[in-house]
Amino acid sequence: MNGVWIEAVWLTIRVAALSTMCTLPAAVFLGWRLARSSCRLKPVAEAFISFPLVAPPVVTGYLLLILLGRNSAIGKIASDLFGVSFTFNFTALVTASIVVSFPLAVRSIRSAFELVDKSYEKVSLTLGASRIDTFFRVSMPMALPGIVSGMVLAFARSLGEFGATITLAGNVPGKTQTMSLLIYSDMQVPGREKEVVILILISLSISFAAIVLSEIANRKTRYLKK
Amino acid sequence: MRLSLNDVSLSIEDKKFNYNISLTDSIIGIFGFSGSGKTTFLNCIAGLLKPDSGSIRFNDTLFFDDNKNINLPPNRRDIGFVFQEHFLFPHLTVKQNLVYSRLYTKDKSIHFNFDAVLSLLDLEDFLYQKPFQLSGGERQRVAIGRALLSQPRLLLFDEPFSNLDKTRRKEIISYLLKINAYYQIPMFIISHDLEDILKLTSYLVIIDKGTIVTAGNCIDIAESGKVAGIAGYSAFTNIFDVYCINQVNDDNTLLRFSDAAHSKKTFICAAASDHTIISAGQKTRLSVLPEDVIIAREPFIQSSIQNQIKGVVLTITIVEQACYINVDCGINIIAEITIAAQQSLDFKKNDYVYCLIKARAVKIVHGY
Repeated sequence: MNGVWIEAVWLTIRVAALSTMCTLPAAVFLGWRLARSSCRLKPVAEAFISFPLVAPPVVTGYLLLILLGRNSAIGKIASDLFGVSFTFNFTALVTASIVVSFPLAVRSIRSAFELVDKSYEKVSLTLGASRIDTFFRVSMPMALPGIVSGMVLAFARSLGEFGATITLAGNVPGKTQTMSLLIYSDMQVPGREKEVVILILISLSISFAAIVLSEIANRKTRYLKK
Repeated sequence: MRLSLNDVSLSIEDKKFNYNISLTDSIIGIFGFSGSGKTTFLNCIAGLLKPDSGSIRFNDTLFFDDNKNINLPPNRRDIGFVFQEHFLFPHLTVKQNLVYSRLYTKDKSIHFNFDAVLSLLDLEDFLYQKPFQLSGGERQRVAIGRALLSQPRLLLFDEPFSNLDKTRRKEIISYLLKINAYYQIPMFIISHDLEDILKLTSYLVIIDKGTIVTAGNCIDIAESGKVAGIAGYSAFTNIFDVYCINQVNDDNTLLRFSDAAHSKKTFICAAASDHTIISAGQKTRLSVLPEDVIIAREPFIQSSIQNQIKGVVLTITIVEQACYINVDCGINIIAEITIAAQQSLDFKKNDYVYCLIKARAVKIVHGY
């Protein structure tokens, strides 16, 4: 493996892991709220959250560029107050990954919470637990297989992210060039087919390993379905 | 114990519920058909449902008051709730389920000691198993133990016997009686099976169409025919609180009962089983299903029927495919006969009739 490959693989794994970690708490909270809420505005909230799933990734990236770019209000505030920029850097990679993987995680986690019978939560309340304790001691452990699946989906989506990433973060070798972007770049160069195949195999191996880990976690929590 | 619900009302979808009652007995049976509002009643007490109006008070604690904007959350009501399904937490072992409430009972006085509850409910053998490894009866016992260890001031049971076979029901009923005897903790028990309730208590609350129709001693309610009138005759069981006279024959297989204490006049006989331990003079509750009562104009001489009780017809009610005849025999007995039998025999109000009941059809609910 040459240096560019190693850098791209390592960058991709870092971005996917960090965006999954950032996504997880919010996705668990929102998944739980959506599963338990009977608010009339719930369909609107769901549509808003799911938007990046149906919108073309390039469009999502473009909207992010408008929303978080240097000339946007948020971009200016972030730059002036914290010295943070959301474009063409590592932060941009993570931001794009979070936005596109978030809906997948939320949907999976929401389904998992919906499968947890509310009566378990009621029992917990009658045993003296508060709603927050009930969430951490009953709802979340019982929804664990779905949460793990949601994490894996988010991680896998981040690994393969392309459209929003190239729009928001660009394709700068050694800086913002993830595996997907490197594969794309190599595909444009005649004679690099072998390298492209190897990169695809590496990418698939990482995704496959993530799914295997998720299945192992699911097996360990099979008793929850009994 | 004093629990009062003052004009508690709420609506769930199209259904309206209204509860107005004050209760003081230590075990209270709640009876009614499916969808009548029994579970909603318990959920309001436990705080799992918020009424639209009214107030709920338990002893000195105001659980809910619409006017004062008070609604104590379920975790602060100190109520143990055992649901129809056991709902043991599947990710925890039996022991972890049992001690689930330990974090929240630190400031409470401990009435129920862990070891005592284990021994009372025979839970020692499967402490480290997961709920899915237990039988239905074992799971229900763990659920009861878990509720006890939350140190409740009141225990609510929602159909605790519905998923259990006869043997398991008997076992759980005996555990509940033990709990009440040892700890004197008030209990509310929902069941659609009147016989199960009667094994635990004499005090009934009858709920129908979202309201409390009547409450009081089961004998008074049964004699008034209200259970039958409200919940339907098919749910009705004749109940008699009687006194054992003696065990008349040599092999002790027939028990004779009088309707008054110290009386030697036999009102009804019951067949004893190997497990029946009732001594002479002991007050005993008996039950007879209406379909086990035959109505005849004359007694059956030289027949094997041990109970041939003379009475006067009070009411005749035809419901769907059956005819129910309420006979005043000193104690009221309701008999279920076919419409064809009523048409051919043409029983009328004030007719003298005989209620014929086989001794084997008389069930001994319990002696006390």
